[in-house]
Amino acid sequence: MKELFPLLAGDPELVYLDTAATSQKPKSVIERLERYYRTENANVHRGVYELSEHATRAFEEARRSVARWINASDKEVIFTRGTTEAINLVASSAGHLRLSPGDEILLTVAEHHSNIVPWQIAAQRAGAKVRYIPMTGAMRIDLDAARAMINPRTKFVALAHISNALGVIHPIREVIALAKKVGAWTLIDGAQGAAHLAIDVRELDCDFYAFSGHKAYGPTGIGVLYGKAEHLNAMPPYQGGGDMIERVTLEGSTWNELPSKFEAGTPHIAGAIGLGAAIEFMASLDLPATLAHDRALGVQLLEALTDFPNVKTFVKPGDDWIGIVTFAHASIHPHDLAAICDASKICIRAGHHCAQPLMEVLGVSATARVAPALYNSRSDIEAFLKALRKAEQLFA
Amino acid sequence: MPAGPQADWKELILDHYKNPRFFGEPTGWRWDAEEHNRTCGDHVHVYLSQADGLASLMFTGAGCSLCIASSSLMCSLLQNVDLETSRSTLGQFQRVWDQGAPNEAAETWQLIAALRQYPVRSRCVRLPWQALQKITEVWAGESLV
Repeated sequence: MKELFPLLAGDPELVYLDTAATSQKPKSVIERLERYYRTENANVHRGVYELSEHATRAFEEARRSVARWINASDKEVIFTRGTTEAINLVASSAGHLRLSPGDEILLTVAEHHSNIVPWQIAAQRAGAKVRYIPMTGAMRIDLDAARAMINPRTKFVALAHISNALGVIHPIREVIALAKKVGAWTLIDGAQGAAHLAIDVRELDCDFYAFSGHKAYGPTGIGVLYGKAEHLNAMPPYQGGGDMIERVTLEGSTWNELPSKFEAGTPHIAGAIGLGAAIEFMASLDLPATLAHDRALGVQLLEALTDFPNVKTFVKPGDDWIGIVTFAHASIHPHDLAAICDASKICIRAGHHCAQPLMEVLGVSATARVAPALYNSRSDIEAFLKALRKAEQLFA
Repeated sequence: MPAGPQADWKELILDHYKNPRFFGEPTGWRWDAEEHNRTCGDHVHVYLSQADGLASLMFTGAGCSLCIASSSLMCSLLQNVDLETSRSTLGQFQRVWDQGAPNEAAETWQLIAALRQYPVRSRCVRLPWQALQKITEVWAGESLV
């Protein structure tokens, strides 16, 4: 697989184990971006010349690819800068529409800051309250607690499809069903989910699904918000500018139809087209086999870590786990471990993974995270273990 | 770069991490400042105590080896010092961090210069110095009154 990824093919010594932060990019995506800038570059939805028409067709074809991939209609696919902007859009715009004083927004304690802070801002503005579903000791969502917490005041339920820090696939179908009983709108943070699982938003019946291109083999700076058309039509615009208007007068403006209503200004055209290429790449994969591969590498690491008495892990493997291994070491700070790995050209993540509330639940301020992907092999895990042993010698 | 083989300064830095100097909250401290590293949650709390117009620093906190070693080295440099020394030490840290330490500089500065080997972790190293900057500003404001 490494041969499909120019950065990895060009540096065979590099061991990249930080795919949960961003994936490496396949050659096909890089070449598609280059082709766009070399031969197709023009602004979209504006020009009356052929080059602009061509760019517009390529941009809208990328939207259709996304829509087909997640089983949505084209107008329900909003291009954003990434998952973060997509969640902010919903929290702000749908928050304006739906939140009143005393209403509740339900999240989990394991969320990425991007799925906490926008809701806190929306709640503060509306006088609403954010509540958090706890985790069980096995670091799974406590569904009994969720059942008890969801009530008629709950207006939004937002949670990750897959936890970025734990690698656990959350039971989103169950949570969506609970939310529906009280009429709450559901948002799924698919930053990790869209990179590992086939997504069918109709089958999930979520109200919104957000994901980033860069974690799913695509470019940085491009992401997607899927939203049910009836909701997007009812929501006020998030940003004003070109493209999102139907008519502007000095007295006021009217809004364009979906999806343009939520795409103010010149979009990231190349990014969207690159994301289309990334989806083609993912469509060429056997996703269940890829997930099994990642999980097997995670199991290899977890089993090896049982020989390190100072290492504490937090998640047991299961079908609801994608192979991400997060751990704390009794005498090595995660930054120090990451630096020692870096000296051996091994890239791992160290820190709170933008999930500080979860770190509190885990009882640590930071952890090290190894996130294997399709281009990793057993030898990459062995290289990491060698670096860990070296760190233990140094910090013993 | 410090004199001597790499292994020596690595050991000395590790020693400051494992056995930090001036670690703890002093009784009767006059000013304090706390800094957090937003990428990892590490934190350093620096305290300044005064006696006869001279100041001494101590610190508490939790962090990686570079953060703790940097705090320990900083406090080692600032014992029984006046405001001007505190200011000039801050300036000296910036110069050493930007350019390295001259060969004739004291070992403490050589060790601080050695931390430049880890440029991606500058936030870890700078954390206690940012706290010192805040404390020194308060001290300077007070001395104007």
